[in-house]
Amino acid sequence: MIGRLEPGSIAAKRGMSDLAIRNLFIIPTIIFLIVFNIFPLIYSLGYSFTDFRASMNAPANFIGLQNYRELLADEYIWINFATTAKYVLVSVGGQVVVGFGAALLLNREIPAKGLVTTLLLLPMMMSMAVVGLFWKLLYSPSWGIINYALGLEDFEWLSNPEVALYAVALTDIWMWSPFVMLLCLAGLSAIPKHLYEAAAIDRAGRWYTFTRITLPLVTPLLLIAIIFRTMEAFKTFDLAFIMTSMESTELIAIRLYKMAFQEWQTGKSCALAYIVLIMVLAITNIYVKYLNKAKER
Amino acid sequence: MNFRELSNRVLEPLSMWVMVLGIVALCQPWVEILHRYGVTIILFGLVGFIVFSHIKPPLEAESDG
Repeated sequence: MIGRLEPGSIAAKRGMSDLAIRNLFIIPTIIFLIVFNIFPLIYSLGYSFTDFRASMNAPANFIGLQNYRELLADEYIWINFATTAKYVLVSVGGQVVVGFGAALLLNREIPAKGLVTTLLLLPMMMSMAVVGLFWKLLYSPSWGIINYALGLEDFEWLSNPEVALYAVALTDIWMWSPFVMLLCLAGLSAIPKHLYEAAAIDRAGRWYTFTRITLPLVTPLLLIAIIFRTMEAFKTFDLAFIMTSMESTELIAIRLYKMAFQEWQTGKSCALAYIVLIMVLAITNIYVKYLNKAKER
Repeated sequence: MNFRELSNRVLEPLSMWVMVLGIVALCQPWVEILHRYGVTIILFGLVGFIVFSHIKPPLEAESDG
């Protein structure tokens, strides 16, 4: 229960004692996390070693590492992983180029800079589902504005297996480049002006100034943006799921969804989820490492 | 070079690169055997990284930083 506060004490001035904060905020949060995050995580780890199917009224049989062995020997899962990697490379690469370019353009005195920055940040504030539906209309072969603007008549963007993945990646680039831009802009604005003045006195060229001053000083924040976006891109589900339903755009998260809720292979899908979790966990560790390094600087 | 120094300078970065190698192995579309052992490579790197990143650096390195 909440302890009584002594009048005039720091705790009384704050309005709540540490004990009250613990009881009112921390314990409920911990209970919530255990019930909704940690318990399902451990429970699904158990299921990943069984042949359990949620659609059947049969008990789960322990089969050891068979699910993991089957998944890693499955050619289609391999293709899904390769497709996801291709998507991540194109999407994150595009975001870095566009985001860093936009940050370089905005890191100078231009009229209505604040308004332009805010407008550029709008895409990343939208819902993934809304963006997916919106771009589906833009890509429409019969009346989409992209075909009209490029003069491509009835070119199929989302039904063409060779282009569909890049079309989805382009949407992701449009949506998340502002995030990379924001981080790069923070890095660029923190570079001391006297470095550029010293370079100008030494008659250093633009390229030399960029490679020796700008790029090294922005790299820590740029790396954080890259790792964060890579982590998110590996988990992409909604955008690709809403925009297309082709095999060439079947990312690992979509395969996981189909395995769990369409084929009802619950045990196997738990094993696949754990494979993805291990991969994302590895990227997260690298991310945290670089974040701490950036903090130290 | 004592163990703390070895862990800080060699083993921790090595574990990180093993993790990266594991991710590349899992997702590359060319060699099937690399894909099959990708998760195992990531796990080795991940466990190594968690262990070695918890070993504190030697005092000299701490004062250098």
